[in-house]
Amino acid sequence: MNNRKLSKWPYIFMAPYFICFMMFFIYPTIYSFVISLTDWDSLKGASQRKFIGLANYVRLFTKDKLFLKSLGNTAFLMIIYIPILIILGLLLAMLLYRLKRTSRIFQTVNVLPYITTPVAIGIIFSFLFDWSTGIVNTALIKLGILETGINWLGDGGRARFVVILLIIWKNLGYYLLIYLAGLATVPEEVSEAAMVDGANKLQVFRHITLPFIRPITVFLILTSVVSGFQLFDEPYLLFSNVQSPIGGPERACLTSMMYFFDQTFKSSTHLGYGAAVSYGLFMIILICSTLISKVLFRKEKGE
Amino acid sequence: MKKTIRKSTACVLAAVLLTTMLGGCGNGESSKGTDVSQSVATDNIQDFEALPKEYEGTLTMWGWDDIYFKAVTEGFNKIYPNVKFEYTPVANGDLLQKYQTALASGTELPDIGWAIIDSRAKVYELDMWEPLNQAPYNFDIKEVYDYLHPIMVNQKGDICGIDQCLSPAGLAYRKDLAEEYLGTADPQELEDMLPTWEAFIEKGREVQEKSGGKVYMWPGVADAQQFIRGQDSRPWIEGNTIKATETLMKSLELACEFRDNKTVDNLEAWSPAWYASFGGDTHIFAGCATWSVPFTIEPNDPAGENTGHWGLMSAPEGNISWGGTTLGITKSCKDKALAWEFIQYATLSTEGAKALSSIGFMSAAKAPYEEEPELKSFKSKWFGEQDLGNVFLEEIVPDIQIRTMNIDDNIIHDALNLVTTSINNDTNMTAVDALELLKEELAMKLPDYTIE
Repeated sequence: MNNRKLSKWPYIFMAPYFICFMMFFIYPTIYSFVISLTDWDSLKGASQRKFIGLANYVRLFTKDKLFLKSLGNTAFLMIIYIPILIILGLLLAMLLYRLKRTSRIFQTVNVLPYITTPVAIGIIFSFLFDWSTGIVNTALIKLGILETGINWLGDGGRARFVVILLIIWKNLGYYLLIYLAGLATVPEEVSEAAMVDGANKLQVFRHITLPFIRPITVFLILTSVVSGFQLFDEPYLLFSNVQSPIGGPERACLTSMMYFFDQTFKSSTHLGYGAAVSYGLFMIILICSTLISKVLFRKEKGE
Repeated sequence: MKKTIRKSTACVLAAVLLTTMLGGCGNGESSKGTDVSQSVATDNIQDFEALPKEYEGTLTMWGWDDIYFKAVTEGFNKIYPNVKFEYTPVANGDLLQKYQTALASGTELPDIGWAIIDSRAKVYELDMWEPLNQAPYNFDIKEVYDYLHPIMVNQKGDICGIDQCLSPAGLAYRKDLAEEYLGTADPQELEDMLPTWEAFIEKGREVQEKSGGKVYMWPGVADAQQFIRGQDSRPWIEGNTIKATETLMKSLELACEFRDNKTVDNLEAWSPAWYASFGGDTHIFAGCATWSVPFTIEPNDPAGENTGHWGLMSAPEGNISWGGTTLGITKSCKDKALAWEFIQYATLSTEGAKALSSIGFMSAAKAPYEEEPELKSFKSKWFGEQDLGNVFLEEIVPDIQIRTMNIDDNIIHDALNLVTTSINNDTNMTAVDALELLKEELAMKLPDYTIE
């Protein structure tokens, strides 16, 4: 009898979590899918919205060139910065892992950009790369490398370069921390045994360290891809000037999330289409992360 | 028993979820219903009468200009000391998003809504404004300066807000540089010398030669382009057609000529370097609205105080309305009589005009200047003895032609900003290339329009 009475308590204690989860996650998720099937324009009001089935999705994937461009931009940025972050983060972690005394200082210095607010970073970078008064141009001219300043933020390619640099500078500390935690899990005795058997440092790194931290790398790649598709703050803040076009010059830094925001709240007021953009993006993230995890885990099993 | 508990728990959770969903859906509807009934109810009410001085109440506002807010609310509190204000700072660029999300989710809107010109066409179409031209407000639009009329109404023709102040713009110029490189600092002589932008470009070439490439006529192409765009009152959109070639080609040609002839420097508008240029000695002219004097010129040219560094004149080919924010009453406002009393004070009354004058702003209403002609006068220590108020009211305002608002104007502005960035960066880009790029952009962002 006592057991029966006790058994309801887990449900009662878990109920608040599930209720909140349903209210703040499941319900909005379902509701935004419902919105994505309507032509809700907030200028016309909620009473005027009509159910239009999958028309928003058809337009999104077949006619909306700007959405496809924003996807291409996002993918391009990710293809460049994710490998750099992974490699640099690992190399830096390897270096700092060996340091005994000053390790903490270097860790703190590297993590500082990660904990700085994106708004401040956007402003700092727009100051650094300003065409006429930016520190970068001034330094390059004074060093005699350039005769006149480069319009970093006025050209599509160069603007992408600045965004990639910004993302790497901001996030490197995070990758470093995760890899440092991963390296701590590699048993010293295995490496030492390999060294005793005649393996050099490169062989130890390749055949012992890398396999041990493989789950960390998989985790970082997957989370980077998911967060990469949600990239918004950095490019948005870099081109937040009133007279900057959304997405910067040539819309080269228009990411999918920026496009969603612009379609829904800035240039246009189409809440229905905006919801379709966000669901389209959700589907793409789902497919990409599934594919990546399948490839990576299959490799792991094969090995 | 376990099964029963599981079942009942599942039922409770499902019921809670369903209730939340229905509640969520219902909330918006019910709040909308209330709004409509409130709106209809006010139609049968007589005009609001002046409130007693001891009247108590609270008004909420979302805004971005603390100086303006402080000046007008303090002035209002001198008459109505028991009225309180709750002010929430928001970025002016986020306004449309804030209003939209509040309306969509059924959360509370401010009692008094601000609407900046950049997003006003869309903001005015949101179902949230009391029509001030109807009872019980019965506001007569003729009370404010004529050029503002097209930008105070929505597509239905209802007045959704009244401008906080006038924001006409002409050209400010550095007198010392004008004297040195153009031979005169007299505004009339400069206006005669620069009747068209072609003449402006020609003089700019001479200035470049005389100064050895150091001095420019204007700080950057983007703000010059914006000024030129504002001079043409022809609507960009007619029915389902965007008249790109007809209405925008000239401004693109001028932007290319400005770039090629080094009429403009390469400063990005609103960047630190652009602000700093007001205190430098390499740029002669800049667009100057009423608010530019206290916000951009005075703080960035500390050496110019009491030296009469600056002058104000009419721009070649006409002046423009630059910026501006309206105050309106939202349908959900809890005390519309008080809100209307405040708006009348802040925008139409002579007392309000005095409060505005104290911060260098000029009332958009005509009556205060008739009642107290000295309100027409406005001087700045940076402009010597020149009466700026008089220049703005007597010379610049009558010359302004304004474009009727369209809800998609902001998208065209954004596409033009994109094209201007390309013109500025690519010295080989011609006006024809720029127009093609503009058309491509517009076709992507506004696929439902025909682009000519």
